[in-house]
Amino acid sequence: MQPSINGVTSAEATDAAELALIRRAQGGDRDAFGELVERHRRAVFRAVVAALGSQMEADDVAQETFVIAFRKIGGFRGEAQFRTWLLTIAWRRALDRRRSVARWARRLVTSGPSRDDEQQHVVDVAPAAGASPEEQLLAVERRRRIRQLVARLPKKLRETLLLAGSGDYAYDEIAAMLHVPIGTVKWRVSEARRLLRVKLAVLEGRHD
Amino acid sequence: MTDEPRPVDEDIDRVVHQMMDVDAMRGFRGRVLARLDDRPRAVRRWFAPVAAAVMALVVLVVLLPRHREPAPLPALATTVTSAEPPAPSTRPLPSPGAPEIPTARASAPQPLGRAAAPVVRAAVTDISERTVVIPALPAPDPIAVAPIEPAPVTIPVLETPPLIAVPPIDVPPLPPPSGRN
Repeated sequence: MQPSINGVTSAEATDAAELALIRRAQGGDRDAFGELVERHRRAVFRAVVAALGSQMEADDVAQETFVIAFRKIGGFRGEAQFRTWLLTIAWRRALDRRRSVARWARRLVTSGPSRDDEQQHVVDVAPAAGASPEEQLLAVERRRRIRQLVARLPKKLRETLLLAGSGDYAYDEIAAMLHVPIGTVKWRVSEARRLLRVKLAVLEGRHD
Repeated sequence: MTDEPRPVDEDIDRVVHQMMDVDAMRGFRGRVLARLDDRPRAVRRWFAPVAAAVMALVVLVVLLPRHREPAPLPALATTVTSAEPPAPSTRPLPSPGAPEIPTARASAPQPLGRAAAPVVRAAVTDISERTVVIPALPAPDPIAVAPIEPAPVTIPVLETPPLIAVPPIDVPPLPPPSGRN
C-alpha cells in the first residue's frame, strides 16, 4: 500500500519520497523542509517572476512563500499536489506584493534596473550557430522586439503566456494557480500569441 | 540574405522561454531556513492600523485644548456667593404677580464699573461649570382674534353731465357771382 497523508494516497498527492519529507516537515523537521525547498525552489521562483517581472523581488517573495508554507504545512491534507499547493501560495503572495503600496514606493525611490533592463541579459543570448551576421542581427532585433511586446501585453495575458511558455507548468497547474478554468488559460495563451504576431508584423512592416 | 523569416511563433516561444529561464539566487535554501524563525507577517500587518490609531490620537491631543473650558479666575471667583442659584442664560419675561427669578444680572445690579465686571465674569464661569435649569415659561394666553368684518363697498354712481348743446350754425348763402371768369 502506498503511503498516505490523512487518507490521501500518494498517487493522488505526490511521490513517496516527497510524502515522507512532508510528514517529517509537518513534525517540525527543518532539514526535511529544506529538501522540499530545494525540490520546488525553481518552480516557485519562476511563477513569482511571471507575476512580478523582477528577479530581486521574486527572490524575496519566493522566500516568503516557503516561510508561509512551513507555518501552514500542518494543515496540508494532501488533497492537491504539494507543488500546486506551494504555487498557489506563491501566486497569492506575488499578487499581494504587486498590489502593495510599499512596492510602488520602493520602485520610485530605487534607481535600479527596469523590468526590461533586468531581463535583457536573459533574452539576448547568442543566435544559432552557423547563422550569417545579418541573420544574427535580425534574430537579435526580433527577439528584442518580442521581449518589449511581451512586457507590454495586458497583465493577465502576459503572466499566463510566461507561465505556459516557461515549460515548467502544466495547464492544470496554471489554472489552479490563477484560479481560472483550463480553457481560460488556453485562450489567454492563444490570444497573447495572436497579439504578439499582429504587433510584430506592424513593427516589421509585414502584412501577414 | 535569408530566404524566409523564421516563423514568428517559434521566436515567441524561444523568447518567452528565455525570459523565464531564471532561478533563485545562491543560498536560497539557507535564507529560507533562516527566516523560519521570523515573527509572522501577520504581526507586522498590525503596524499600519496601530500607526493610524497613534496618528489619530496625536491629532486629538493637538485639537483638544481648543475645546477645554477656560480656567477659573481664582482671585475673582471669591467674590461670588456659593448659595447663589445658577443664572439662566436668558431672562424670562416677568409675569404679573410671579416672583422674579434671580439671574446673573439680578445678582449684580450695579452699573458697569470696576466692581461689576469681575462678578459678571465669575458668574459666566459658574454657568459654564454647572448645568443650568431654566424654568418653563408660563403657557401663553390664547390669542383671540376678532373676526374681520369689512364694511360693504359702496360704489358711487358716476353721473356724466350732459354735453354742451352746440348751437346750430347758420351759414349765409353765397352772394351771386359778379360776372368775373
